[in-house]
Formats: sequence, C-alpha cells, structure tokens
Amino acid sequence: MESKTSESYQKWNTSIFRTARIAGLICILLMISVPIVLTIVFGDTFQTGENIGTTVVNIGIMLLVFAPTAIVENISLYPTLGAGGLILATATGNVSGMKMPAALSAMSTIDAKPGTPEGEVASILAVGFSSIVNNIIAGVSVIFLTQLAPVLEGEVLKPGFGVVFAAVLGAVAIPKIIMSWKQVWPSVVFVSVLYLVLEFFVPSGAKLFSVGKGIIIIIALGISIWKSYSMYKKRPKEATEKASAEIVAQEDDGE
Amino acid sequence: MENIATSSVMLALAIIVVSYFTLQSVFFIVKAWKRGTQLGLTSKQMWKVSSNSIIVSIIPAFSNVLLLATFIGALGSFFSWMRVSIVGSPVYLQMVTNTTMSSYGLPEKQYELLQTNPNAFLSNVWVITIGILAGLTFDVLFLKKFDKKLQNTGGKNAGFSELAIACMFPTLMTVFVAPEVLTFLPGAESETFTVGNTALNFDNLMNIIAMFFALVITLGMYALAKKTKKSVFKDFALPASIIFSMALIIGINLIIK
Repeated sequence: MESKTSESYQKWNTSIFRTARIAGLICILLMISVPIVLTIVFGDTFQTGENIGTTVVNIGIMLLVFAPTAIVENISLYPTLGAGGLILATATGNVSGMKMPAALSAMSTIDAKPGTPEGEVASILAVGFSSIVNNIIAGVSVIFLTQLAPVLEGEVLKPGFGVVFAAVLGAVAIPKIIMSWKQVWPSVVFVSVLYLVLEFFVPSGAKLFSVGKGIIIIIALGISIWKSYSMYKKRPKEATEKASAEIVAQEDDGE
Repeated sequence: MENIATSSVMLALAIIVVSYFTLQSVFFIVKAWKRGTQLGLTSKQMWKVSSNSIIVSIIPAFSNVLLLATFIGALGSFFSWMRVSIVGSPVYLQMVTNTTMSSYGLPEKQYELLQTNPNAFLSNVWVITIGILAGLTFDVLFLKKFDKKLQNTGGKNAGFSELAIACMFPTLMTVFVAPEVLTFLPGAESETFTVGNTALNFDNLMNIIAMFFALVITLGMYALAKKTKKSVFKDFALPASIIFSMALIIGINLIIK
C-alpha cells in the first residue's frame, strides 16, 4: 500500500486538492450566477431596499442555522471521503443519505479502508457515479413526473420510500457506531439524553434539536475526542510505543 | 409578467448547471480511475466499485424524485430539478420556502402562490442559493489547511490522532440516528399509533423497524459472504438491505392499513 508520505501520494494529494478546489469554486460561481441572471432579466421591481433587506435577513438566518452543521459535517466526513470525494459530494448534496453510504459500500467491495489511497479512489468513483445516477433519474423524472408521481406517491410505494434514509442509517451508521462503541458511547448518551429532554420538556424541542444540530455535533465530537484521548492515555506504555514505532517505520518505508 | 419558474431563461440556467455538475463528476471519475490504475487496482475492481455505487444510488435517487414532486408547486419544475441535482436537502428547501413565504405575507403551505409573486420567487432563489454554500466555501478555502493539520498530528501523538479521526464519522451519525430511534416514544410529537393505552409515533415506528431490519440484513449478508467466501453478498449488502427494508414496510402498511 502506498504510504501517505511517499512522493507519489504527495503529488496526487496536491493535484486532487487543486482540482477539487477549482471545481468547488466553479460550482459556487455557477450556483450564484442563477439568481444573478434571474435578477438581471426579471428583477425590475426586485431591486428595492425592502426586497434586498428581506433577502439578506433570510440568508443570514439560513447561514446561522445551516452553516455550523455543514462545516462540522465536512470536517467529520473528510477523513473518510478524502478531498476529491468530499468536495464532489458537498457540491452535489445528499451526502449522508446517498454519497457517504455509496462511498463506504464501494470501499468494502475492494476491501479498502477509509482514508487510504485506495479508499480515496473508491470514494471519488462512488460519489461521481452516485451523482450521475441521481442527475439522470431526476432529469428523466422531470419529463415523466406526471406519470411517475402517482406511482411513487401512491399508497402502496410511498411508505417504502419514506424509510429509505432510516434503512441507510441502519445499514451504514449503526454498524459504524457499534464498531466504535468504546469511543462514542458517551456521545450517544449525551445526544440521547439531550434529545429526550428537548422532546419531552421543551415546547417544539424536536425542532430545536434539528436547528441546533451543528452545535450538538460540535459538542458530541468534543466528547468523543476527549474519550479517545483518555483511551489513548490509558493504553499500556509498550502498546503506545509499539504503535508509534510502527507508524515511524511505515513513514520510513514511504520515504 | 412572464412566470420566472417556467421561463426559458430558468430552463437554460438549469440545463447549464446540471450539465456542468454531471460533467464534473465524469471528470473526477476519469481522474480517480487513472489514480486507481497507478495504485495497482485492476479494471475489474474499479468496475465493481462503480457498479456497486450505481446500484446503491438508484433507490435514494427515486426518493429525491418525491422531493421533486413536492417542490414543483413552489419552485417550478426547472429550478426544482436543478436543486435536486445539487446541494440542498428537503428540510432546507422547505425551511427557506416557508420563511420566504412568511416574509412576503403569503399564506402558509399554499406553495403555488410563490410563483405568482416574482419578488418573493427571486428572493427565495437567492436565499436557497447562498444559504447552503457554507460547506462548499469552507472546503474551497480551508480544507487544505485542515488536511495539513491532520497530517502534522503524526509522530508522538499518532495513535491518538488515529483514534480521534476514527471516531468522527460514528459520532456524526449518532446525531442522526438518535432522533430516529427516540421519536417514537410515548409522549413524543405526532402521536398517531396506539398500542394498548400507549400512543406511539407510527411513521417513526416504521423508521425504527426499517433501520433495525436493514442492520440485520447487512450483518446477515456479511456473515453469508464470510461463510460462502463469495464477496457478492458483501458487495450488495447495502442495496439489498434498503430494498428488503422497503419491502417489509410496504408489507406492514398493506396489512395494517
């Protein structure tokens, strides 16, 4: 396996970062161009202080609610998806329900671990193909929505589509939580207790949980990292030295 | 005045944006494929990864179609199609649209009225676009710095940094899983299902059943792969668990309702 300190890995890392950042920047500019063009063409009456003020306030509210979650989510997912996979996934959306499960499933097909060079390749391929499938199905659905909607929204199929996200969580998230149980159990307790307190004792508490998800993730991450640190400190000295020696040896091999 | 949502300008913009995002995916796939070859991965392995990703994505993509159907009334088919193809969850789109409608004094949930008010529609497009860009902007500006920090935490504390990195994804998932599991409890919001004298949230009960059934199927498929030494069971564990869970819930609904 290629070491992360090897020249070829560093070359790839620099290249993928440059490409992903340029691609991300183009995505941002392209997305912003939509309201700009629409305002130029149709915004005769839009460019008033009142409309602009309302829009700016609403943008502020959305950033306040969604920015912390988005940033913390990206920090948490980066070690698994890598730069190329993450930027591609962030630009195309549906990261937790579609891109991340696709990437993890793809990695398991070639026995690649997240964060390894092979895992990074699997991640980019998975996110890329996943986006294309989504765009094709969405595009075809726009054309045939009149025919498709009654079937998908019908009494028979709709309950099935309603549980897709839950099924993905069951297949992907729960095994990961179980495997890291020693590290994450304090976070599980914290999040569960917080949710129950908000749900049962605070009016509209579930909505509050949803809105404050970004901050909750930050606190939960802090708890898990603290637990990881205490586990690391409690490890026998020999084990720690052995682990460090192995890592140093791997780095030497790479050079 | 022309309806912005159904205008040819909106259609052209949607085509340009979706085409770019699709081509960008193709570009990254080609780049990753070349890198895979460089790492010694065979074409067979990479096709396996690719076909798995395609199959895994089909059902969630159809879930997105339902989202498309929900928002066409407010945003029109072109803008909805564009948004479903790029970043922005259903919760986000709904929250922005409700906020905009309330700001412009439009009656709650009468989404079709948004298209009749050009200023409200434009404001909504602006907010939907800018309000979700924080994640991508962070990636473009700061991800490289974050990566450097991660790489520099090796050496003496390498064992700790590995543990810390490994706990990030499961912790993030905890925040998603906990509400799904706990909302069905007696006394929770939207009580719709009664067992004896206890009211439970029916939809969430279905979510929990689907979640644990998917877990069982996944573990079963992995065990089967190990026992038979056929990786196909492991490769298709995720799509199979989604399909079987959906089938179970459809079956339960048919029986109960």
